[in-house]
Amino acid sequence: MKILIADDELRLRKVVALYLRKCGHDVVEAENGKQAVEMAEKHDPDVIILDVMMPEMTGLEATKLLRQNERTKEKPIILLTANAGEKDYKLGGEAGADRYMTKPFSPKELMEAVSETVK
Amino acid sequence: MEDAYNTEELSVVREYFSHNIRTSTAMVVATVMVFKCGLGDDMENMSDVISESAYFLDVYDKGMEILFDFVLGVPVSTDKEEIEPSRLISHFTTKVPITIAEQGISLSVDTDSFKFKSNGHIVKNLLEIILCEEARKSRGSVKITGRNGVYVIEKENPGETPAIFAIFARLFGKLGIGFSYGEKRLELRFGQ
Repeated sequence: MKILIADDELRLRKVVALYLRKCGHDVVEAENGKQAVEMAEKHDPDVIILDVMMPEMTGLEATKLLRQNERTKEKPIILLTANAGEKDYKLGGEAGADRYMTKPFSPKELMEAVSETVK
Repeated sequence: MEDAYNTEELSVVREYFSHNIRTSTAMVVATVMVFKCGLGDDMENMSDVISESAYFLDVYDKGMEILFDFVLGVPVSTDKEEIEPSRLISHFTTKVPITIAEQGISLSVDTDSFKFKSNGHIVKNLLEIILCEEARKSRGSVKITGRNGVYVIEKENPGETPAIFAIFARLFGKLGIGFSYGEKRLELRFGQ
């Protein structure tokens, strides 16, 4: 499976990417929402994982753009966030995300979420 | 009953610290999990990564209490202790070497041994949070200079300026410290 992961927290992104690669997946990395939207078009991933709070373009804004694009509108999107408020869950759903996971999470949980979302 | 505090500022404080504490915790959880999966060879400094995350958690936890107290109107203690900013900066760089290296930061520090007296608990913590922010969000060259109590941080490729800096400026002001910030330049005027 090809997985696109976008998170501005470099170290967290690297660790999660390492785990996903260990699970046998092809991983492409982006450091903000804008880059994620461009890379989603370029790399045609099977699933997109977006951090919510990123510079230049948030994960919510990126999700909305991906949902408007013919090439990416059907892609499963998982939002990762360090915001656990009720309104944040609502915003994630409104933006068009398939799943919303709060930090901290274990890479194993994320992998399970990826498998369930892609089904 | 009307609130005596600024609910917007409370929200800024909650969101800032919740975000950073959750992110640092996520780093610990993810690193332990990856280590458990036998990927230690790929990141031989994992225990150092966890130590750095623990340091970030400590800084943010202390900061959360300080900022909530301030926004809620708890009087700022007038207890004073001697503070030497150059020592704090030096201490900080020894605490987070991996973050600085991974972010590709070329850090240069040129400070004198200026000392002043203020509320050490608050000043040290806010300065640590500012340094954490720069270490985690900046890229490329970060230059810290300090002369006669005026400390300047200049960044080549800055991250976004957090909204909480406006509250920092007010709190620093209560302690007689000037704090101004822009996208690429921060300035602290201690002991004014």
